[in-house]
Amino acid sequence: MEPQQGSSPAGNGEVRERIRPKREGYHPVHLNMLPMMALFTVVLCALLKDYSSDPMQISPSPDTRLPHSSSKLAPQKAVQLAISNRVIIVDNKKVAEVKNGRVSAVYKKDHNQASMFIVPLYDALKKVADREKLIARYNKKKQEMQFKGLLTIIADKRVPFRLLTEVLYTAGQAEYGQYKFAVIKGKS
Amino acid sequence: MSTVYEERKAIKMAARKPSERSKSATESVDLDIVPYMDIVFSLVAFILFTSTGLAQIAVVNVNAPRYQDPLEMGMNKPEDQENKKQLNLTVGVTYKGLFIAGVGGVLGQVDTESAEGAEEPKGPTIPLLTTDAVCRDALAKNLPPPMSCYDTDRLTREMIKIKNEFPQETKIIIYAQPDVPYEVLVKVMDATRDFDGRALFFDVVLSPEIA
Repeated sequence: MEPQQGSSPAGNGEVRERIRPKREGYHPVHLNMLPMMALFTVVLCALLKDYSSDPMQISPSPDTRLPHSSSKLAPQKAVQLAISNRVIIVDNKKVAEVKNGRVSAVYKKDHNQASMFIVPLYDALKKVADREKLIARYNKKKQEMQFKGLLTIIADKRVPFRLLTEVLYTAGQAEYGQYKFAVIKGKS
Repeated sequence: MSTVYEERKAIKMAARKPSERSKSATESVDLDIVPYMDIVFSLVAFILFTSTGLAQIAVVNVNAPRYQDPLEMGMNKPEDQENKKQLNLTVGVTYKGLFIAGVGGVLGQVDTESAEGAEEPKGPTIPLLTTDAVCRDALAKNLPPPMSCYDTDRLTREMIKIKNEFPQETKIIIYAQPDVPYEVLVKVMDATRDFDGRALFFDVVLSPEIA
């Protein structure tokens, strides 16, 4: 590399000669990813804590739109019953189909459309209730494990009142008398 | 490309004093954190998409109707029953509006806002809001109106008045017509549960539908 021509002293030219090679060629830039990694780790830990500490995960199906409410009550551990516009689900198992906001007569008692009693729903809830009672019998000292007849209803906001009462009536027959309607906090 | 960099680094190292060369002999090793980043990023994305933590979920408490055994009722002392005068506050959600009833009967069926109400003694306590064309249409065709057609602010005002008269009462019975959507029911429960931090009627009992 030639030193720069001109009136500058020879000493300065030497310095420039030393600096110039650094300007040429490729200098790989090392991105410091450690802060980003730390950030992601913190976010992951917070999410995992939320995920595990929630006593009850309410996860409505994609076709279920929950209504909004001003209620601030936290969900409790209970049997989940989901009512969408297509199906009724108990503990993640489909029990009956819904069409146009009605349960078909096939699922009703005596195949009577006017009946409030949904037979497969009753069977499913009765099975769960029996299981809960059995667990409660072996854990008499643990208050939180006693059978209280609690049911979390995860219903679509368009579900008609008739279907809701049919479901609640059937649940009542299976000894579930306290309902918790899942809603989204805040106004729509 | 990295070879150029490494070459330059080697030249730089060689150009150093022998004392410095010995110090820099223990070269720092960069940990490859890219696979770790991949895993963490995938986990974060998965949890964010699957968890419902962003849309915070709450619950509304509702009870099934309780039927008391008539024999048990007979065992209670008559004085106790007299002391515990029950209001049996009932709110009905119909396609025409909201009915509020108690032991004494249905509240304000003759609407003061519409003089025609006098001719229809069985009108709702709180008629539908008819400012919107959709509500007027639903009312004319006797179809379930959308949620916005119900005057829940007025319902809350009525509830406050009743609560002032019956401060001990917390129970409310809600019934509706068959096709009233669930979201209207939740809105009615919201309007009757509390107002500005003051508890109104939060002990909700759902009653079977009316025809």
